Amino acid sequence: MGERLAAQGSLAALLAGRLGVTGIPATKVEGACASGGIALRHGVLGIGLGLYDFVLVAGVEKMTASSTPDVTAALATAGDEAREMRAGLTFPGAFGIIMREHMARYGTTLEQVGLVSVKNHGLGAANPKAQLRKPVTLDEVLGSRLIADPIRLFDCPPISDGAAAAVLCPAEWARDFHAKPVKVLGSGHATGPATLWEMDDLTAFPATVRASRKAYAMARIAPTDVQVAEVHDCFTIAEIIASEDLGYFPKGKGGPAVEEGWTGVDGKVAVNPSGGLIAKGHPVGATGCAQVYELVKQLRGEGANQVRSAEVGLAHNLGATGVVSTVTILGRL
Amino acid sequence: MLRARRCAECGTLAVELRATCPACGAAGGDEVTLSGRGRLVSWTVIRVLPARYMTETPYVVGLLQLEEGPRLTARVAGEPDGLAAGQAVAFDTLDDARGPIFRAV
Repeated sequence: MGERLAAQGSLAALLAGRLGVTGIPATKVEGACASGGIALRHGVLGIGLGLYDFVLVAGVEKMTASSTPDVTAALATAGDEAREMRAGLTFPGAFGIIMREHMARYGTTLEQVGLVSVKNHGLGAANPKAQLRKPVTLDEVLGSRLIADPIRLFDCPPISDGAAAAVLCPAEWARDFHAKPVKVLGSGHATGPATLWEMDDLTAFPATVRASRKAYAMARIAPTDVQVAEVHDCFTIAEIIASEDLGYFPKGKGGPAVEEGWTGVDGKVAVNPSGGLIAKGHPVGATGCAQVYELVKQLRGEGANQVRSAEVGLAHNLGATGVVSTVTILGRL
Repeated sequence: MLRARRCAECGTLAVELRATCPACGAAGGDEVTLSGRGRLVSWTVIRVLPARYMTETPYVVGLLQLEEGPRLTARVAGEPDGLAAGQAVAFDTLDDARGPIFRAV
């Protein structure tokens, strides 16, 4: 959203210039909130095809200098303007419609959804890279002001500035540059419906399902082989849906799973030990890269909320209401 | 009046009146008038307003299931209190900027 919020395009070539490497190819990748994940995917493709020896994948966003209405409007451009957003829908609104349906269909409660916020704010408090570093109580979450019913303030990530980057190279060279290199085991990238009315099921994102199945197959693993996942909790309900779409819990059981603590740092799968988008922040273009940063730290045993015996990590990045998604699976080399 | 296009090839009804069918890509088909009646599947109340509608008071956006089959996302005019899943809605007006606007009935 750099063009719109920071009046700055051509970010890739500008970055090459600032780094003093003008002359190399540089490309900006756009895919709404999944831009970082898609950029990483293209870097992986470039290395895998043997086109490049090294790829720098960087994500950045500067949002805090803009007003909330301007940020809300800029984010809304990720939707289908002519066929949905023009009605005045916003992304909190779209996820509000989705959350209400998840609650109606599966009996998911406001408390279960709110506990995602409690968990992620609690974890963010211990992450020095997080934007919000104060734990919240369930009462504070459920009593925070309504943004787009039933989504409340503490169901949302903050408006953020941020950047993150990853350096990719062929696996056989990686040890020359770091004592604890991390390998890309699998990568998936898929698209889905752009509007709510085109979704066969409001409570699942086919792009996440497809991208994750591709990534699991490439990595030759099952969902149960993942110990730590950084998933796209652009709203609390989105984390619950991601935990289902990624295959950790059956459809409709994501809410009870949070309540049981199965997504905590010591749970069946640690979901968003960084604090997620909700506490770590959601600088849109940087988010996909920031997830990978957090997972690399986890796999090196240096995580802010270290998951015991973290050997395989998964990053899930989602654009808009599931119009695009990437899933990247990482492991120790 | 709420219009739709019925595809001459596959019969899909689409609220979008574009030249080709969104389901099968075929050209051709007749414009039909819909009853404008439908049901509310799910909804939200937009309280943090996007810049272009900043001067409005909080408003309802719903996912609607129309009687004839198509779904669409649209404004539901009126107070949000008392709305429920399955609530009957009817087409009210066509707004140039916001698209079709419905009301609870």
